[in-house]
Amino acid sequence: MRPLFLALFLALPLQAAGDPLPVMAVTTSGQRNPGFLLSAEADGLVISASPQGGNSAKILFANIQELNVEEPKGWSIALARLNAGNYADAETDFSKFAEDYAALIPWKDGYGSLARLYHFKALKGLGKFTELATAMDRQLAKPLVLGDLSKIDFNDLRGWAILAKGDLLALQSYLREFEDSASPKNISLQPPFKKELPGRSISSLAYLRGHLHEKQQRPELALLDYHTALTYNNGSDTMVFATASLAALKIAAAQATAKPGDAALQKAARSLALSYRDIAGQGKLPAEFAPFLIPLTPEPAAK
Amino acid sequence: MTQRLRLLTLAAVLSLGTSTASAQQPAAPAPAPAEAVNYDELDLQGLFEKAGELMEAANWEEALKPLNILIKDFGENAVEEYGPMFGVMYYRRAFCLKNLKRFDEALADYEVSYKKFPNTPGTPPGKKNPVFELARLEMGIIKQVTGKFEDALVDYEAFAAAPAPPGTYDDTAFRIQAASCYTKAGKAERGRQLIEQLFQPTTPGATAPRPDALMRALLTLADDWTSSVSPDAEKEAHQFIDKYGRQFSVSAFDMQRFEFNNRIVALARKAADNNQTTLAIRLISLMASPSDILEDLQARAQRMLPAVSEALQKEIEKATAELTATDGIHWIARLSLAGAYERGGNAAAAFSIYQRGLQQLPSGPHRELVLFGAMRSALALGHMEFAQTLGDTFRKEFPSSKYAGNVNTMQLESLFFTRRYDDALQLANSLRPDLEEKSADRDLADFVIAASLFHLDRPAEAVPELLKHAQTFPESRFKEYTRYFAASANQKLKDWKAAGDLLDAFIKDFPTSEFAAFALLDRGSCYFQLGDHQKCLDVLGDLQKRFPDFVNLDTGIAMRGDAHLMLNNNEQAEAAYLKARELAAAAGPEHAPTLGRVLVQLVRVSKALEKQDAVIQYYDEYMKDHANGLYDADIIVSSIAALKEAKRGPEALDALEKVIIRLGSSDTGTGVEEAIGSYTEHAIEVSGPEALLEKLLQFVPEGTKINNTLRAWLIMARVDLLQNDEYKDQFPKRAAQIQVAFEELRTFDKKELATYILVQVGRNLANQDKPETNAVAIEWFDAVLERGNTDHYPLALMGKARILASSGDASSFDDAIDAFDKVIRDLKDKPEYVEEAMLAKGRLYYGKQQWKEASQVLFDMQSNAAFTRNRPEVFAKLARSYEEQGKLKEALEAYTPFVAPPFEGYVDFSAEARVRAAEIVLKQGDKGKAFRLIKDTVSRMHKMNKHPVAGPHIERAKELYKKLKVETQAKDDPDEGIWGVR
Repeated sequence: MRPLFLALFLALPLQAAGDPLPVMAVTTSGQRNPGFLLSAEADGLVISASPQGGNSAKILFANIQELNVEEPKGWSIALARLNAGNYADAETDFSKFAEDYAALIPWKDGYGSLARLYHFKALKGLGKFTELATAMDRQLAKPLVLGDLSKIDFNDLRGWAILAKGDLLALQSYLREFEDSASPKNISLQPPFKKELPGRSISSLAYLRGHLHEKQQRPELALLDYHTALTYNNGSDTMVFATASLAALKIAAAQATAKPGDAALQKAARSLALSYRDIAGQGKLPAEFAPFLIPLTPEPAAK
Repeated sequence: MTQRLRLLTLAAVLSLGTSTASAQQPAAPAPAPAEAVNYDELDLQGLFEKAGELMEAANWEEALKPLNILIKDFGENAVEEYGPMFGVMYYRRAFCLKNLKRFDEALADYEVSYKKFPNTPGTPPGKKNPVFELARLEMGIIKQVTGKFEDALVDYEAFAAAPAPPGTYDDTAFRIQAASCYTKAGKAERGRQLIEQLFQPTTPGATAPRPDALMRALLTLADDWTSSVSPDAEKEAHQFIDKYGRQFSVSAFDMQRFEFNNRIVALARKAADNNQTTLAIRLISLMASPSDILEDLQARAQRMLPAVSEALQKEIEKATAELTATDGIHWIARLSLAGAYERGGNAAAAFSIYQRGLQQLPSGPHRELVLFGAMRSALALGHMEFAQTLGDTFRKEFPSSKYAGNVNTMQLESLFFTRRYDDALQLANSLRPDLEEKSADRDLADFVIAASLFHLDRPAEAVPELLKHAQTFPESRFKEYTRYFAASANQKLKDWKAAGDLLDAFIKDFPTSEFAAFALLDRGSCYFQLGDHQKCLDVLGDLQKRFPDFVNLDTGIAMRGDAHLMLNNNEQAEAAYLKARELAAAAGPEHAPTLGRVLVQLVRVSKALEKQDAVIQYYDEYMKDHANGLYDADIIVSSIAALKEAKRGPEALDALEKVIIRLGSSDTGTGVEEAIGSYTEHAIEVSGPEALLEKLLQFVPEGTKINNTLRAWLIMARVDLLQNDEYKDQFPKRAAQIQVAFEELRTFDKKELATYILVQVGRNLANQDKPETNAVAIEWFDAVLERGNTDHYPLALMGKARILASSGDASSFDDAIDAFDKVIRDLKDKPEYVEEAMLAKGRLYYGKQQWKEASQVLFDMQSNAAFTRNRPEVFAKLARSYEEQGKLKEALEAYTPFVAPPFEGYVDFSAEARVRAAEIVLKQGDKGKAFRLIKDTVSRMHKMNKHPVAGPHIERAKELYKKLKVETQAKDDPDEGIWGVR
């Protein structure tokens, strides 16, 4: 018993700052362990009989058959906010959860790691990429422990953090991880992303590749990727939709301005201006693009 | 039946279950098979319980039986006996009837329940009708279902005013139902208010609507927005979603489970059809994608570990299969999204979706649409090669598709109407050989070829194609384009006559065409160019009357001013320009070039009218608003005299210098030629030739970067000045200076030089007349010829032909003949060049003793009375060519003009001609006639015996005289001594 007590003692500073969560862990031997979840370690959960932390014991993950942990108060509301695209409130919520449950990070897909992951997602949703990059760098000191599903989100966030740092080589290398280089070339103008990736990841990746193309002075390819970002997952990620449509609009507007007689370019710029204003811009459009909202008059083929 | 026990404790019975009203009834499950029941044996409680049991099993038909017995046997004095609570029986029967879609009967029962069994004040709680308010709600629902929206609303409003107790109905569903009814009754605003209230923050303690209810409500509103013809509906929808969309989220699986995905796709398509493109796009963005659904399910499964339910596992399997499905709602959604973007003009967004389809739909019901759409959007984006590949794949995979014909047509039309003329031309040329003559596709291909050539500024090739199209397809849908372009192409070729004729026909045949006003304007232009200024005025007057709102009327009226100016009607010209100025100014910035030119013309006409103040006024107006425009140089030069009068001459000259340097600093140097010409012309007057030469050598301030166009023109201007004989005394060393300048010009890349300069350099080289300079000169002339029909094409062509003709070597002979043939063919409108070319060609054949060819060319020359410059040589050589061919009669005819004036005086030819004529006559056996001719020659030309050309022929004539005199036994002439033939 002494070694265990010592371990618990050492674990105390890492105890969750929020209210410890009521927990019921059923071990593989069928033993029920009700209590409060104080912290997590690489190999198990530290549970005490009282919320104050006395009489604690560690139950190894390997020995847990069933685990029921009460959700932190406000967690569902925060998650609903995040899922509904209310990133501002979600960022505040999960920032706090991340602080409160930092001690639970080693628990895979537990509230500690997920709180941070969702905090990162909210930062991405708000377009705060620099803060995201900083936060993600900071988490390297205590890496999140995530399951396969959550890793998809984490990988996506990694790309946006690289974007914030402006390291194009790193971005290129990151994108290569996800490109399907074996895909036949006659069905696509550029390499598609691996088809096993979820749609929302591909949408993000397409934006990031579009950004890379744009930085490398390849506006035509950038435009293709930005449009993939706009459409791939039905345009359901509001941040990606807004960012990609604005980036595409900038290119399309430049092209339309350079060739005022090209009706197709004018129409494309107008379409992007309208969809940005209506869907992403809450009825507003940056002033520089306002001229593209003017309806195009139909004209004969040429005169 | 009458023996039934009437229970007073009906309240207890009712507690077994009154079906609560549901505004949105779920689909009725299939009725459970009913057991055979003898209802006569049941008492009131038994009947009631049996009915409830059957209703639970959704066996509506069977449930009616006990209910009918209940109402029949116990309903007579029910109010008195049981109180309002008996209304439940009617409510239940109505409920069954409603589910059997017997709406009229159901409504009647609900009305009985509501009207005959109300809860009046004083009704004891145990006897209250528990479904009294709900019956009113159901009345409304039945009326709505049967299309009586206004009546239904009365019931809904009544229910809303006195609703059933909480928990007995779904308030959210009621609001959605009522909102939908308001919308259908044309009161959408009230409907929207009802639903919007759902999204408002709820009062503390109240239960917030569930996310799926809010989604249902949102979609009900969306149904309204997407049906609305109001232009504000789309905006309102976006504002609503902006405001409330982030207040709730429905999980991905719920989006599918509750059929929201399906509804959204239908609504998005409706929005797109209703021209609400961005709303369609936004609605689709609310859908949950297959990967989102799968992730949601996997997350649920993770939470359920280790005991994942079988149902969930099945859902995961279904969702996994959906990821690779080639059919289903998600592909319909994606294709709808592509369609919405495409309709909005965003081909790139559509392309991204179709491209995904190419990767993920190698087969399946959408493959055809995907290929077709991908090709269409690739075309629109200009990915021509990819589009071509897709088009080929489409034709291969779907040869009998209903879109197959469209593929070619669309490719062509899209390319043409998006003004990608190079690509359109290429594709049309590749398709045309396989198209049937006179087919619709051939019509299109021919049109695209012809019109693309026109737009690519290849008028010489365009004209025959356009004319052929107009002739082959007189009723083509492109006929107006074809006919108008044919006229315009001729204008580009400066064939004003042909253009004018085509325009006349066009104006006659298409008086209401969209091009009609343009055609009249162009017709005026043709008349102007042909010098028929009165007709120009007439046709432009017609334009003014028929199309007073024509967008380019300012240009037409300005042209009227030009025509008046040509007719010296200066006052009318001024009036026309003033009107044109007014129209151009009112038309705004797009017509600034027209206004600028009109101001230039006003300066010119004011000069003619000697209105010096007006000249200054228009000059200042131009410089204020149009400086740095196309006509800077023109207006400065035209105004300079008046400016000088106003002591502003140096200002004008400085301004012109700046214009030239500005043009010379641009990328292209366009306009430098005209500006330098104006400058030199003016500066000679102002500063004199020496100062101008000096200025041209140091024209550009040190450090200013100028393009090679200006650099070359400054040198060329120096050459032109030095070559001007008027100033030869001022430039005693001009020959050397000219040569140095030309040497400098030869260092330029020919591509950078104007054709005028190229020709001048070529001529300078040719004038040196050395084999090596001739060879280089040809390169310079070729550089001009390569640029097609320019002003200096004739000079270059003749220059080259002359060199080739003069070289004398056998290898150049054919080239020279070709060059002259080209002159004869291409320069019909320059007869002086044609005459020279024909003579040179005749000389070449003559020199080579190709008598037949020589005689053909020379005969053509002598037949053309306009060719007057070399007629004696033409006749002499023609006669000799005939003679060498043995055609003595024709030869004699050609020699004959030399025996009388005026040819007689051209001794270089006449002496020989006379002698040869006499010899032919002699050969023909008429010694007397021959002697008379030779005697005439000797008597008239005996003094020419020392002439370098005629001399030998005169000596020969004298010999012949002596001989024939003997043979004809002619008498001595007293002047024979003078003639030198005694």
